[in-house]
Amino acid sequence: MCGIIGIVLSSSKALSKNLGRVIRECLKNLEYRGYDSVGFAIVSSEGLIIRKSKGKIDEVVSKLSFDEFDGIYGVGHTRWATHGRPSDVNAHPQTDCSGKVAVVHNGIIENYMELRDALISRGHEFRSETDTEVIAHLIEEYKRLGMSSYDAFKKAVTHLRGSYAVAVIDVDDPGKIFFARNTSPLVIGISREAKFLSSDIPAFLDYSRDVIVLNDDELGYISKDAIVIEKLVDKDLRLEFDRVPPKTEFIDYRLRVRHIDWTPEMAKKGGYPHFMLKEIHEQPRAVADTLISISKELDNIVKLLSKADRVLLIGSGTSYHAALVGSLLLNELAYVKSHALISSEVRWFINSIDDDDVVIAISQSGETIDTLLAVRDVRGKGALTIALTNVIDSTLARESHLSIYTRAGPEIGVAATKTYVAQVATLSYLAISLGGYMGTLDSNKASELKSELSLIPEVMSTTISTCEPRARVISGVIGTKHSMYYLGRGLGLPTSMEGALKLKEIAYIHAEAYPAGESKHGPIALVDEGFPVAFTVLGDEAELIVSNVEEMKARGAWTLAVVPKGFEKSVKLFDYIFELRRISYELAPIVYIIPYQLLAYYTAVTLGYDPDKPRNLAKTVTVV
Amino acid sequence: MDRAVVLVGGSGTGVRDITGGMPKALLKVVGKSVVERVIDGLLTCGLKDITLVSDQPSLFEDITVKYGDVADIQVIKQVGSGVRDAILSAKDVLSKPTLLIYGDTLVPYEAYRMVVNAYLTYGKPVIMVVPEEDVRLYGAVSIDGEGRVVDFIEKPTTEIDGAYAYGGIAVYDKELIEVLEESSTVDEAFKRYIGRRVFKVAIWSGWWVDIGFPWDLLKATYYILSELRDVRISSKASIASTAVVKGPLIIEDDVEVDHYTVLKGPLYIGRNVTIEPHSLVDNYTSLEEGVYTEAYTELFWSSIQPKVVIGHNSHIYLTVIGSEAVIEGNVITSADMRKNTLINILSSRGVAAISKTLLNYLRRCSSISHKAKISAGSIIKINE
Repeated sequence: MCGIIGIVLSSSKALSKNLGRVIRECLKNLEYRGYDSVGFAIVSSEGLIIRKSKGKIDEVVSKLSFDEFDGIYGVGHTRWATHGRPSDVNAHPQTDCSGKVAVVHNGIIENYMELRDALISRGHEFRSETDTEVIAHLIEEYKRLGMSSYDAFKKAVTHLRGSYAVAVIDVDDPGKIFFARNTSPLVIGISREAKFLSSDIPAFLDYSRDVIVLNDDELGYISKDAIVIEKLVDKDLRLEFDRVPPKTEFIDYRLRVRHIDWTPEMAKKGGYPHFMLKEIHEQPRAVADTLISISKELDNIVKLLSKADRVLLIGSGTSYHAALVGSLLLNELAYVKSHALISSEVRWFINSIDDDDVVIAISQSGETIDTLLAVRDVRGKGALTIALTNVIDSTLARESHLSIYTRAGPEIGVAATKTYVAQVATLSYLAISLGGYMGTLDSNKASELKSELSLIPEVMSTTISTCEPRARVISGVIGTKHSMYYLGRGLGLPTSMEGALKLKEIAYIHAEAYPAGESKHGPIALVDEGFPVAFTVLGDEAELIVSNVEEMKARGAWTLAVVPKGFEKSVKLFDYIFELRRISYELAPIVYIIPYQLLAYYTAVTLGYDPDKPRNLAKTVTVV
Repeated sequence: MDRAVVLVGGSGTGVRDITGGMPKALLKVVGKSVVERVIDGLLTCGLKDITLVSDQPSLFEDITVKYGDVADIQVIKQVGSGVRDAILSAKDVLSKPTLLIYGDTLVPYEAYRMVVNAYLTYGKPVIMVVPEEDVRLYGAVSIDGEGRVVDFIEKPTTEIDGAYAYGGIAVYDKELIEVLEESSTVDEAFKRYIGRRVFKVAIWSGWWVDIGFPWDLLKATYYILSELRDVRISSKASIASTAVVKGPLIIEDDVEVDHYTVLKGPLYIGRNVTIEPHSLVDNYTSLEEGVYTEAYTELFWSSIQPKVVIGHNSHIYLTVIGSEAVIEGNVITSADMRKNTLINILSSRGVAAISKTLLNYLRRCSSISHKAKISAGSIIKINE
């Protein structure tokens, strides 16, 4: 995964700073999408300037001297290597033989070997190991055959199989940035001073609030005076090098413009050292905003779910943990047959899925490829699909029959926090509503739970400030450990799983979650003096966990617990405790994850890692 | 924003023995005084217009000279006493957007950048807070879900659940300065201001040391030496051929390390330090300029201020020694603390993980006063 940016100014100095600097700022906002190399291309009075290097933006800022370059239009790229290791030559932009065409690309061209061989046999010389470089040479080849730059670009796109969002400069057709999208996200931003192309909206929120979200198989260009969007009608992958321009339909972009009302500060760190800590502190607001908006939108979905034979919840990573909470609550409160599945595993269940099933697909970004593929599969079997996502108009939302949106605001930290609690709050609300609607949940109990849910943001707020100092202290202990267990029962299990995932992904400490009752069937073999075990106790299941704790302590485990206040056995059982306000067991997952998030965050900081940029992970996983 | 005010007046009751009445900001931590570390951090963030506020401005002349080429430093004489008066002494500067730093606070420079960034983002006064379990020593700040200050207590007498420690770094605005002039203390001013306007916090999650007690110097030494990655030995240092040197460490000019001595980093050895034969200088020790240690001494996790002399066969663990002190032979410090326990504290990634009971015990560690004379064979326990 990578981040791309393209900018065309309406006049020189329209943004009263050098274009190179604007590109750098936008790329900085895209760094969460990848950060192993960076580069840009700007067309100035001296012609096409390309600068690129391996390394993070801040590391190479002086080497590339972004800020010194000015021009009217240019493209930039922050890379996350897929084909070709991170290196200066593999960094984007990639160019053709003549050095006139510069391409930045996010995604994977699956048939690039084939294209590359064909182009080499026609005399092209390749310099990098990237799949991207074929795009530049394809354009060059069609220009050689006599096509105009833009037609050559369109023709090149028809040959690409796989995922891509590309932005292309060709100095032979000055003033324009060509673009095309398939699967990988791409948006256009419009303001009086400039037009932007970007992998996401926060990249240019400082400059533009009016955006167009592009769809698959759309391509076109932006220039000082125009925005052209066309849709490819039929894609011809055959490489015949003929000169027939591809068939397209023109799209009136004016109908697609949306106004975004996020404030730009929301995409910045503000008074926090890391996005992750900021987003942890934004959780009460994320849940409050989400609850307000969904309470008006869910009636229709509740009715549909009441008719379902079975409700499957699917997701990857953190979203899968939200799916687990959702399925437990649907079973418990609404007596609905419900299961959670990991998105990439859905295909193995496909034979039993039919049109009586409803599938709720959960993805923060709405672009997670595993979840998208699963949705396509279950739709093919006739199931009704509902997207639960934080990004309006994301691919998942567009490809599902119905959508529910969390309102957590943009999440920049790679480790999901506020979007998780917003997902869990949404699913809790849904399960309570469905239980009430179907009569499995006493109507008084349903309205009690709903009013308690509306007070949850306040509880979260005090929980964060009471747990934060303790998490900072305990992180010093956790930082010395190499492995850790998280145990819980019922809703405490997905909470434990999410806690373990957070520690793994940002503090790089091995962590596993088990049902507390399962721990004695194998995992306990690893426990010896000082082995850390965290117990998640939400309320109702407290007594059941006591014996599991004693088993662990008998083997010398170092025990930590997240417990409700007033659980009097706490002091005797645990070495460290996070005591939280006691709330209904059904709603506890929204709040009781907080200490684990803080613990993972502070452990990462204590160990000297950057929690916003975990190694080997990226925000939207668009690679199968 | 390129201005900063640093309050360097405090002499600090908790470390008075060590400083001998000098400002705490002039205590040495790993080769530099506290105030130099603050200035270096500010310069890294591009804050070059720096005002120091002190009741003894002449003591800071050397520093203004040292930084003359790279920064614009002025020293203002503090009018009155206490934090409120110190702040108001620089009120002309602070009425414009300026980073205000208590000169006994050490943090990585990223914290300054964060506070400046928060001010630029919100356009409101900002104070930095730190999640600490026991806020009694620092001042308690209560915040709401939107990151606003809702209460501030400068000297809390009990632990306050859910409060953050005041981190000693802030950006004021003109109104806050005016409110401070009408108030008799900082917390009174904060309370009044909170009632009228929005006051934001910036939450710092990295290391942070407020130098109140000798133990805090050891904490700062630990954190700063932890960031050391390489071995830097001056070409003007002389190290005996039989000495064993294991990094990371810094050895400055004109250091003399004699035969059969073992240096085990991370550690720092300042200019003109002499280490006689058969000595062991172990982890997290900082020997400031001009220290002299005799043969067979052993040092571990200690901060030895300038011009201290340590006699032969002395064992100095977890100790802060004030400048120009003379320790005779066969002295043992932190004698009731096993070295293994100390190593455990260190290997638990320090200092953040120390339990509250142990922390209260360690708070004063072993400390030896400025210009003290410790006679041969003394045994010093923790807290003495």
